[in-house]
Parts: sequence; structure tokens; C-alpha cells
Amino acid sequence: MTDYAVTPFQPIVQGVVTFPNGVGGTVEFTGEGVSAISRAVGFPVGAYVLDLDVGLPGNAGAVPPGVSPLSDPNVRTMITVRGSGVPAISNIATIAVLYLLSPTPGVGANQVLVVMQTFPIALDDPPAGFEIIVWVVQ
Amino acid sequence: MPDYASAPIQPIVEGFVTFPGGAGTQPVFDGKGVSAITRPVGFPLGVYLLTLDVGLPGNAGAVPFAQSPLEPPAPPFPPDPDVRTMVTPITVFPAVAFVQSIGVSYIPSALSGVGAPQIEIVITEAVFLPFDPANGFQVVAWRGLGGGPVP
Repeated sequence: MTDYAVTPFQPIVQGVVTFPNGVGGTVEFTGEGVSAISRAVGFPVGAYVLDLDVGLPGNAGAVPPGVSPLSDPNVRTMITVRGSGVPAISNIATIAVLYLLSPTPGVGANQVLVVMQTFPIALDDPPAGFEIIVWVVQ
Repeated sequence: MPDYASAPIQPIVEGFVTFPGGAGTQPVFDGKGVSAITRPVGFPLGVYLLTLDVGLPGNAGAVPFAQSPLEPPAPPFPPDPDVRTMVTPITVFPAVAFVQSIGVSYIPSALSGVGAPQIEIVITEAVFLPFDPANGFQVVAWRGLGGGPVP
């Protein structure tokens, strides 16, 4: 196969976020690359903070340090909602991500903030959860 | 480049879905990892069933088995199967997709132990009504390997 891989990137997070107790309840991450997940303080639905695994040699770590506001933390995130109902429609109209800097100098951005809204625009949880992959690029 | 790849994933599907006859007609998949594409009965627009290639050693196959149902009736939904799907509509000039939402779901086989060999994709426009994006859409599916629950 011809080698077209001119943009090397490596997956550092893959998993599914679900709500075992239903919308507005506990949020859970199942997968790899994330050590904790919580709702953003003050937002009972639709905003989630994922803590990346602590960096180890050869392992996932914090996003490389950047200058705030981060324009290039060398991370690319894909999020896809799992639909619910018949057919399995997604209730989410917009999805955004933001990389949160650690207050510790040199650590970089060790958290990913994910925000979801339904339409009309309002924060909301997708009942069936969502999939997430995060890549680091060079 | 340092090896950060702590969350291994493998692509099992890549391709385009288009509508050569126009919206509402038979969808066509052009790519790899899918053996058939259909519209579920009763949904003439916006809902697509992609049947994965039959599993072969070292090749793409059915999504690992997870507790049924992956579809409704109600959450909580099991976090498996270990598949991550990306769906991106192809725009219509001058760059409008008209897409309100995109949802994916995995349909278990009726055969025990086969897993979920189909991916259902639902694309909606305003007020969440299923519709066909005129120029089709791209799809990539990865299989995630390993990992467990993180509260």
C-alpha cells in the first residue's frame, strides 16, 4: 500500500460516555486514556470535564503546553452521539470541545471540556451517550 | 514522535454514502468494511443500516457482542460495543449541510454470539426530522481495544 500517512497522529483517548442513571444523572466514561470524568461545576447537563491519564513514558499524558487561549494544543477530538428512540435519532445539535490548562506550569492542558446542546439551543445530555476519540498530532 | 498511543483503535470501516438517484433513493456505499447498505423499512429518508463485512481473522468483522438491546427502549445503554463511528456530511455549495443532528446505534445480530454486525446511522434536519444530505456523507468506524469504566 502506498504510504500516504504524512500527518502522523496517535490516539490517546477512546471510549464511550454514558449516563447509567439517566439524563442528568451520573456520568461515566468507559474506555482508555481518561482517569476521571465529571460534570462541569454549575452545569447539571451537557457539559463534561474529562481528565486525561497522567503522562507516563509511552503512555497517554497531558496535552502539550500551549499559550492560553489554546489555539494549537496538538489535539484533535472526535465526538459522535449515540442515538436513541426508533429510529435512533440524536437530540444533540451542536458539540464543542475546549482544552483546559493545568494551573501547574509546564503541565499543559490535562482536561478536555465537552459541551453539547440540543435545539432550540440549550445544554442537554444525549440519553444514549456519546463516543469520543482524541488524537495527539505532531 | 513520542509514542502516546495508549488508546489503540483500528479502522474497520471507511467510505462514502451517496444517493446517485437523488434524495430518497437507494443509498450506495463506496469504501471498505461494509457489505451492504439499506434503509430500514418505514424510514424512506435519513436512516441507514450498514452491514459490516463478515469477520475474518485479521479482518474487519462484527462489532464485539454486547448485551441486547443496544437500541431503546430506555437508557441506561451498555457502553459496548467497542466501536467509535465518525459521520460527516458532504456539503452542498456554497457550504451548507442542513444537518441538525447525527446519531449512531449498533444493531445486535439475532444469532447468539455474533455481536452487532450492523451500524444504524440517523441524520436529521430542522426539528429533528430524518433526511438525506444531498451530497451524501463520509463514515469512518474504528474498533476500540481495551479499557474499562471510569466514574
